[in-house]
Amino acid sequence: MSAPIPEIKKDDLVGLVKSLFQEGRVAHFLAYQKGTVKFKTTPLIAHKEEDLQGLVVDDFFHSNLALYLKEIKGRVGILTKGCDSRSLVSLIKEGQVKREDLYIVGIPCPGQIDPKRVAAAASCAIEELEEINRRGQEIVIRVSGQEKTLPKIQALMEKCLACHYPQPLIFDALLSGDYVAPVSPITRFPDDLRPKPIAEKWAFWSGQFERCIRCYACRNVCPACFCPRCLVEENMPQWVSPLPSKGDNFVFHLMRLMHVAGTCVSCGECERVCPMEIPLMKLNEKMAEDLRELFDFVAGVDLDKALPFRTYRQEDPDDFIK
Amino acid sequence: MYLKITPKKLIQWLDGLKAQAEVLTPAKVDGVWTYTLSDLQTLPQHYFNSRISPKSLFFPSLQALLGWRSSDSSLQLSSTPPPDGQRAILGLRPCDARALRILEPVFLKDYQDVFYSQNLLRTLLLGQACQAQCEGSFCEEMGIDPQDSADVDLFFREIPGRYLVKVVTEKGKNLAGAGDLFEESSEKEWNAGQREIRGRRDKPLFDLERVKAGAGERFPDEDFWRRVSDKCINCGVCTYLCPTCHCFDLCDLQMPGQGVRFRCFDSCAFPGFTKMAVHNPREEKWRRYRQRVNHKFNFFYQNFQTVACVGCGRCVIHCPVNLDLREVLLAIAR
Repeated sequence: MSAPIPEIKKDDLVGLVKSLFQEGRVAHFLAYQKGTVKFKTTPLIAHKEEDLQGLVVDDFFHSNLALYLKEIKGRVGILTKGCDSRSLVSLIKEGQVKREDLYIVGIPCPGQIDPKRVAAAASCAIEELEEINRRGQEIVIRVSGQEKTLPKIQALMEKCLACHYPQPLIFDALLSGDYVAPVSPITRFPDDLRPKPIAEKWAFWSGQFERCIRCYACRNVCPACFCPRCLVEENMPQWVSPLPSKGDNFVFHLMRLMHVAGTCVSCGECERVCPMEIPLMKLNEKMAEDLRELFDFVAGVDLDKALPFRTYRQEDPDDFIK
Repeated sequence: MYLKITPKKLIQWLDGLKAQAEVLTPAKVDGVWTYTLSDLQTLPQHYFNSRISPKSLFFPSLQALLGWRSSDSSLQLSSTPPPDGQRAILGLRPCDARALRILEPVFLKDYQDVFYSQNLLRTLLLGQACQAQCEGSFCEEMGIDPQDSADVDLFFREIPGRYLVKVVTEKGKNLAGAGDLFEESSEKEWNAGQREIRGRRDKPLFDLERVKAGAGERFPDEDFWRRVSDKCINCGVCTYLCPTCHCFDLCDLQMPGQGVRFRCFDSCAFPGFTKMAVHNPREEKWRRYRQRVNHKFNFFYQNFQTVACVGCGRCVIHCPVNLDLREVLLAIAR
């Protein structure tokens, strides 16, 4: 029988990580620290014990820290919420990291608050939100000195309303707490674009992609976008021009969508960080649904199941791979 | 020269302005504050910094420079005509207005960029006083007064029942001086119209002089730059939203028999930056981050005697990983 999984109190997390450093189990540890602006927690990248000073386990920890595994190689410890653990599964499957190099500490997630949705529910600008706090099952906010209470369902990120993996799927230790979905999960967040005619969808996405500034925040924050050299940066030949024009933007986003199909775990980071607020999750969710229906595949939940794309087998009957 | 105007007469004045120029005002479009054509009748109220800075109205992210047509025997080049048509920007913030001046030597000093200069010439800058400190901002540390500006044509301050107007340029004077809509005011009245800025810090975060000296002093300290840039994800959010970043790339769009050469934004944060000139001398992330900070606070200052940052806070609040420039500057100034 395997050893019992250690359960760590939040206050003991720093102690655990220190011992991991001392034992040489990890050379880096990815966690969170307090953000410098409202409603943000920022990643903490520790390379030694002293770097752990600012480590906090707060209410806001949106970032999917798996993104740093693109850059930080070797033995890495990582704090992960249930949904983000799917990125780890994906990266292991794709041969980007080795399971034995990771030390995964699960963190119970009460659902991540989306200030944009909060502002919409409170009919105010996001800049006017003074405070967002949790009180039991409700979210208490302050706008212009006035307190308002919102049900969680209006305040959480849409992905959290469909949270099917509150507990990390793979881990070495768990912070103590409840690993339950923040609200009773719905299968899919309704997308009012889905039933519309193709021409209308085309018009919608044309409008959205026209606004894209090609800052590549979506790509760079994405743990699944791990190519060392992206197709859009190839210039001999140039497949996609760097011009932020509608056509090239369209190609960039749809190409990226196809490339991360099967690796994208709908963590929502691309949409969250997009400075132009392009609703990229609509695309990711559609792709996830197609993969479910057409390939019976859900990204990042199974270490062994073959990827729908990019799986190479020697006995492949097709002759396009020599 | 100081003037004032009643809200009612301001509406009349703006109507007249709209007959001569396209008037752009802050508005929220698709969830993002931007400067756009609007049917607003008065000065904008209760708005926040545009996501993309107004720099883009002068130095757009995509600018056609020239075109060509070719056949077996000939090649015809055609330059893109400079932009024309009068326009006015209403509700311009002092930080963004300063940024346009900071960019002037870049686009106008050694080489006259016809697009930037035409865009400046054809645009009336109507500034407006801030009422609250923006989240993430540090404009006052950068020497910018959120309630005043010498970088616009006219600058508006709101007081009960009136708008006070500071006339900065000849262009502004001609525009406000014509007709009898504006009343005379005085420097005294202007000064009395000063307001408490909501959420203003009691004391500055850092001393800009220390930052200017410190950026260079810190330059060789590899550990420092590694540490401060550690979580950077190499995206272009900070540079593309920045009102003073101005790196660009040139790109040819080739079609059979014809083509267009464009100028588009580029970012020193990208690993592929300057690859078109064979290689990026800053392969590692910390070198690129060091370059951005030093360009703004050290090299640009050496070249043009002003720093290339106005403390608007866009990079601070929109950085995907909350890499806060203020903290880096604070560390440099220490």
